[in-house]
Amino acid sequence: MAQAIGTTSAIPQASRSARWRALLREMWKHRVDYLFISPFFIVFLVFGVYPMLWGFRLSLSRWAGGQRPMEWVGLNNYIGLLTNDPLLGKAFLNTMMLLGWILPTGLAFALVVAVMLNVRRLRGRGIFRTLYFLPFVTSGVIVAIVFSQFLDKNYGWVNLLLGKIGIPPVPWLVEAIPAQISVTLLLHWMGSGTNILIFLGALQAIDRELYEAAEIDGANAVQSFFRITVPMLRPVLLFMIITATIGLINLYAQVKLLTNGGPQNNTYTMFMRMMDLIAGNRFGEGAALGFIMGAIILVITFVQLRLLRSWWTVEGNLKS
Amino acid sequence: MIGYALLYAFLVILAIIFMFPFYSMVVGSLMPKEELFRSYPQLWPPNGPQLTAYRLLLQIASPEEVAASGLQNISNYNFIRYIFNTLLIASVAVALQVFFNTLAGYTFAKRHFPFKNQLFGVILATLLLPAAINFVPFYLLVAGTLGWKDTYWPFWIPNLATAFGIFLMRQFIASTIPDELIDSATIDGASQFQIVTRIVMPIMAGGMVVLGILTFVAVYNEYILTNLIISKPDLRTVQLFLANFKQATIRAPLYDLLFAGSVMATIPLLVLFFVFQRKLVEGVMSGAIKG
Repeated sequence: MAQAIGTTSAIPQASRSARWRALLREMWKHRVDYLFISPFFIVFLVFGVYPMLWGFRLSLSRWAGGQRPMEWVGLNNYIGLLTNDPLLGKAFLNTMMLLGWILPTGLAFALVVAVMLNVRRLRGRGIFRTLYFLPFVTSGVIVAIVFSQFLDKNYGWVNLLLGKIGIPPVPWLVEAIPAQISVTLLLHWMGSGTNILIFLGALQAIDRELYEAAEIDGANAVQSFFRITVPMLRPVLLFMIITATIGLINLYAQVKLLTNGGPQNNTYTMFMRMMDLIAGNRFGEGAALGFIMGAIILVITFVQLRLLRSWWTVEGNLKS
Repeated sequence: MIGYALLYAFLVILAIIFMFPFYSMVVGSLMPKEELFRSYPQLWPPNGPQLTAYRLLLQIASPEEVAASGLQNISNYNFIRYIFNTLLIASVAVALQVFFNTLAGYTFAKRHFPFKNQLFGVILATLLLPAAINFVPFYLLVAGTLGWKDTYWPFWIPNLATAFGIFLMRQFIASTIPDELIDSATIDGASQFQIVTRIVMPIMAGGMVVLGILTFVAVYNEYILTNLIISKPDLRTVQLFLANFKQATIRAPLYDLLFAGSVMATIPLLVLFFVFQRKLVEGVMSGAIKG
């Protein structure tokens, strides 16, 4: 705060307090502005900052809630979760596996569809983009209900259609890899529409003249795609990769109701571990897990930003 | 020409794939579960559509139907009440969030005051905080210290104003409302509050609708917090009911009832979606939103 009003030691005392008074007068003059923005800061302090600080204290304790005593255990909760919690380790591996399934397939699919919708003389663009976006209104609970019938081994649509082309029934929700693919399919159905729309918005923002110039220089459609389209979309891609990662780490309802984390915990997620700790009144460990998940998200985001650093700016990648 | 034909064929097939789960949900809700578990799934109820599942959920089934369903305790479930509860939670949340976010969004877009940029920076920085970090202490604060278990306050108060909403409204207002309009209203002696309610809000109705629908869908579909906060049957939301019902019947899911409930739960959102789809789609495409 002091920095904002530019005080330095060279300024005489009297002048400094005069500046302070002028600043306070200015702020008082704008009291209505502060009033208008205050709701966010009040609820952020009460429901964001305070629980986080208290949660840190809690993460160093053992506490089963209510009137029961809170016992200081130092870093034991963190050590226990990181070194002696096979379920959490499994959940972390599952998250990484799901990321490996979802990111490449989801982004490639959404990009291809967006490019198709961006064809200049396409009719019915508005109808298509609305229909693709429709799954946005469904809840994780309802999607899980629909997909569990869809993927049923004996009575589901997916196996019926696979049977038509001669593929024997796949036990979707009963075996490890098929179950992970099931979760991937569900998340694609729910989320692709949003990604398609974001890609489409970004594609329409690209200057047509770039393509025309490339055409004059003799570039074909494929070259234009990889030399112009993809580089121009890099900031959007980066944004999607990061939000998809955070979404997967916080994944809960869909998987809870589709597979309940099974089979053999192969779709168990980190947020399920958190909910199980809450259900078991193990609040100290739950609070510690929150910080661990926060740290994982920050580390992954940081790594992704570093790895994709050249993606931040568009200009650097636009070679003719 | 062939290229275009292939393109349309692909886009239409894709649209069918995106629509099909909705379709199968509706068809599934119209047939008894014995027919759902035939050797292969049905595109249309073989014995014609039946509304038994809807009647059972809406408590208007005949005693014979109740007896045939084997669900003697079905009268314990007050489905209309759950829909009403969910609509109530979502509507109040939308009203509060849209109002307070517009107020703050306007202030950041059009007003100049000390520490404005620093305060806006704080708001943006909170967007980077993963919700998981304080989930457990937040739950303990809300359910324990504040005693809000089995109330709807946890869905309303903590998100009174959100970083995302303020950011969105600031972008909308900064790019739509000219400074001169605000200045002339100020010269005419309008208070800041009057400027917001009489000038900004009418002009920004479109932006408020986008924020309102995103909020409505998110709150209406909420499950995790609801599952922890609500335990009284009468206060259940429709998502909580469907999830509990699915888990209670996990060995032999009552898909007819689950589908009928899902259809009824989704209808309000579909209506909202189609009425405002243009604004919503354009809002998402503008890139300001991650739905």
